[in-house]
Amino acid sequence: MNILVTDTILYGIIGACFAYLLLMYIMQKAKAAGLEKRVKKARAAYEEAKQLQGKEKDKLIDHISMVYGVEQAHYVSMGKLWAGMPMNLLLVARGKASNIKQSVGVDSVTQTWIYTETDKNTGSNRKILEVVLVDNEVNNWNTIS
Amino acid sequence: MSFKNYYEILGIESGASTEQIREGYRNVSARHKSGTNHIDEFHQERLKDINEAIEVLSNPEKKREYDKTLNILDTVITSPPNHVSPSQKPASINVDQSDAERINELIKKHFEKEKALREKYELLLYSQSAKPVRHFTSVKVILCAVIIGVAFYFHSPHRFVFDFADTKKENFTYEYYTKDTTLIYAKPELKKTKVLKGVSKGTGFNVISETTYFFKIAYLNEEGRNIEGFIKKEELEKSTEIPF
Repeated sequence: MNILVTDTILYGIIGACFAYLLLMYIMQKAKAAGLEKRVKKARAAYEEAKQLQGKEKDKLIDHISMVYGVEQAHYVSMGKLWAGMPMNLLLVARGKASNIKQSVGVDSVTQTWIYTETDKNTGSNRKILEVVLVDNEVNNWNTIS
Repeated sequence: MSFKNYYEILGIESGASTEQIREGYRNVSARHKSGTNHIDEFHQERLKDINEAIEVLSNPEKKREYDKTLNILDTVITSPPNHVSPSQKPASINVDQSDAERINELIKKHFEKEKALREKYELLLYSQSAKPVRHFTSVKVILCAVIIGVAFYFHSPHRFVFDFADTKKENFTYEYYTKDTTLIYAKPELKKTKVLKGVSKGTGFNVISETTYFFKIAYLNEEGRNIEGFIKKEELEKSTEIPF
């Protein structure tokens, strides 16, 4: 075979191999950069949502303090309960319960709000707080340690 | 652990039919299992939630109980708030209707923002869990090197031919080899003769001539000069290889 042809084939193969490896390297770098950008964007969005949620909660606590009083608002923001606490304030103070059991009596409605937490070792849910409400007000509660 | 909305976890509307629940389960679980043998912590957590959701929603009794909880939570912020006092028994506070509505509206917004925050957090965890695809791998580099090597072999095969003939010539050019460490003498006699050199075992020689007990050989001294000498026949053995 003509030496020029064989040389061309050889250098063509070498060039193609290097071009392929270079392309792979560039693709990898580009994807890694894209991924980093996506994480950065997601983090910024999360921080923004956190700020908005904080502002919304402040607004809610302010309003609670205006309507119910400063002491009650402070209790709510600290997650504390008191007898006679309205159900919606319980919701703000402790969040949504994992399970609610309701029983309807002759002249009152009793609800038991059960809060659970996931055990990191076993992965199972265990009860940490049980709040009994009578007619939409906290009647008593039991913290399970 | 706060309340988990299993319908949201499965990406379906609350009150969905059994078939819709199953379909939702299939869709979301496939998204977290898709194509990876290695499932990281993020996907494991999501799968745990998904399995928890299907366990509750596919069991009629558990579903009924769960739906009841969900309904109560939904109605909490629509029910009118009553009087309140943190210090034991109520010193009644009358909450007027507009304030109550405003509070409920704010609570609703608060939970909406909390949900949005949770979604953003999930998104952040998801993007952090994504592993970068490795395009530039050692296997590809080796493969390219092999391809180049093969191409080069076909291009210049002569470069891959080693001249063994020269080596053989070098190694098997001698007729005789010393059996052990021995001496080269100046004359073919042991007494009253000068020892020219000591040679180690396996040193090769070509014989110039021979006497009854000696071979006449030639060797190069340290100065590169050709010197002739004698070695006892019994000290040499004939090479088994065919000399070139």
